[in-house]
Order: sequence, then structure tokens, then C-alpha cells
Amino acid sequence: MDIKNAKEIYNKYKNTKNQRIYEIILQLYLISSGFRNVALVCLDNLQNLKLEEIKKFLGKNKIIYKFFPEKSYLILYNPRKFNINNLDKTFGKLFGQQLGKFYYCATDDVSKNHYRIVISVNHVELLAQMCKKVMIAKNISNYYRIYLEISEIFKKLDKNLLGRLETYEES
Amino acid sequence: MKNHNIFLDNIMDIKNAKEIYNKYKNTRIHQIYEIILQWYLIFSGYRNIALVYLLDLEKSGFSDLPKSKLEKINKFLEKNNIPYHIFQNKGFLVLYNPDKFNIDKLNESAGKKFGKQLGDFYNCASNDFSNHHYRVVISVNQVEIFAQMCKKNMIQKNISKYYEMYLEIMEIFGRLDKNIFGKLETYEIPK
Repeated sequence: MDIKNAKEIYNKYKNTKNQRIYEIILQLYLISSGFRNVALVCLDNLQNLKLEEIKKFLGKNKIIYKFFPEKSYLILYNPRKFNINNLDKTFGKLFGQQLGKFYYCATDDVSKNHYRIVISVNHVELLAQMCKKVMIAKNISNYYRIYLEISEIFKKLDKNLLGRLETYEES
Repeated sequence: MKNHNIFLDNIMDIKNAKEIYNKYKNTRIHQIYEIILQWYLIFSGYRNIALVYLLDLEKSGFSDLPKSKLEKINKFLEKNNIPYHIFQNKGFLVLYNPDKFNIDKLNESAGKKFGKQLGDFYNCASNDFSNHHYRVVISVNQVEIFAQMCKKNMIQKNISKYYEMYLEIMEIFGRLDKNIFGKLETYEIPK
């Protein structure tokens, strides 16, 4: 999908009350802008009705995706840049790396990763991961740079979209 | 990273700050909660001076606190012998460690010098904030303990330092209460 289409979809659905559809249109714009090739939207704890609404929305707008019902993971991707058959279905370290440059802490064992780092836009988490605090310390400048980059991308879409970088210990 | 145990030499004072925290941690007055957190940070030796805004958070904009709340805050400060100075016309009070900071030397302009007096965190302190559109905040239980407006390139330059400070502060508050939740965040304030 080109960026013009992604913009049109954003403008059409930006007032949706379905939070996951809002997340999808933001992630879709990020993919269309070339920032990332793969994005994950978690569809857990959803009522069937909302899930149906999302599937209908994806079909109607010809959005390319793959749904993993056992994990409730919806994967959005750019088919020209990413071969979905190569997706790490263990959703471990390789998967994290496939999600893009933000995911420095991608690992097969997150049990020692107690700190969270998040870039959100209008309170929607677009890039988030668990890390060790030393890994965040090592990469915090990169996270800030990515945050600025994402904020710039979204400003071109809508000046009212506000980004935020935050980090905290997960209790 | 600094070892803050060196600041924990005055056990009586720390105990006192802990006792005040435990006694007032369930207060419904936001500013008293903020004061007990800042007071603990001062007595842990992490900072010598802290600013607490006296704004009515229940109202939008910059409304002054109702007189009744202000009186409760005054009473609390007096009762617990916490050194402070209220700037009525500026809408904030300053807590300080009298052994480390001479309150008579406080710059009341709320400008660059004042920011520098507040401590190492405030490296964006300036007399002109018109080009400072980004905010960087370290908060504890949703109370902003350190916050300032910056230019984005200044945050870029200092983000590692802010993260280091966030970890130090969390270590200090972890000794006070294991349930305390801290966060470092940065975001743009729309022009």
C-alpha cells in the first residue's frame, strides 16, 4: 500500500471508537512511510464482535495481514519488503529483529527483562519492548532518535498526533 | 553510576523523612504527597533544593490552591519541621536542606540561575524558554519529581544522563517503598 492510500485510510477512520483499528491505521502509515516493514497488533481480550469489525475493516481496505489466532497476534507487513513465510513463528529473538530497528532487546528469554521502553503516539503504543536496564542505558540515545523520527513521520500525517518516549520498571 | 549510600550517613534524618512518608503517604492533598517525596530526596542527599507548585490540579489552567488547602500544607510543613519558603506571588514553594543551601541566595526569577540551583537535572535552564518545546520528566507515582522544558537537541545530548538519574532515583525510592513506580518520559508540547 502506498502512503497516499494509508493517509486516506487514516483520515477515514481516525475517529473510530475501535482502539485496535486506530492502532492498525497508525501502524499501517508507519509501514507505508517505509519506517518499518512488519508490525504487530495484539488482538487479545477482544469480543467476537470487535474482532469481526476489525477483519471486515482489513478486508474492505485491502490491508495485507496475517492473523495468528493462537497468540491473538495480527501481523501487518509490506509484501514487497518482507516475505511473510520467513516470519519467526516462535515470536522470539528473530521475530523481534524482524519488527525493526527499535527492538535492540529482542531475545528468546525475556524473564530477566524487567524494564519497558515505549514509543507511543496519541497514547497508542507503536513500538514497545521489555529490556534489561543496562540495555536501555546503552541504547537510550537511539530510542530518542527513533522517537524523533517517528514524531516527524506522524507530523506529516496529522499535526495533532503527539508522540511520547517513556521507560519504566514493570512491577 | 554514583553510589548514593554515601548520602545516607545521617540515619536519624532519613528515618525522620521515612516516618513522615509513612504517616502521610495516603494524604488526599497532592502537594503534601509531592512534598514528602521531595523531602525524602533532599534528605537522601540527592538534591539540596526542590520546587513544589501550589496550583489547583482539580481546575484547568493555572489556578491557585484554595486557601483551606494552603493552610493545611502550611500546617503540615510546620508540624514536621520541614524547612521551606513560600513564594505566594509565583505560586510555588521551595523545600531545602539548610545545611547545604542558603535560602537567602535563592534566585527568585525562575530563570537560568534558579534552574541551576535546583540541581544537575536542569541542564536546559534558561532565561528564554520560547524555543523549548520538548518536556523531559522523571515522575514517581505520577508525581513529577524532576521536570523541565528543553530544546529537542538538548534532550538528545543529555538523554543518557536523564536515564542514569532516573535509575538513581528509583534506587533511592526503592529503599523507601517497594511499591513506588517511577517513569522517565519525554514528549513534545504542541506550540
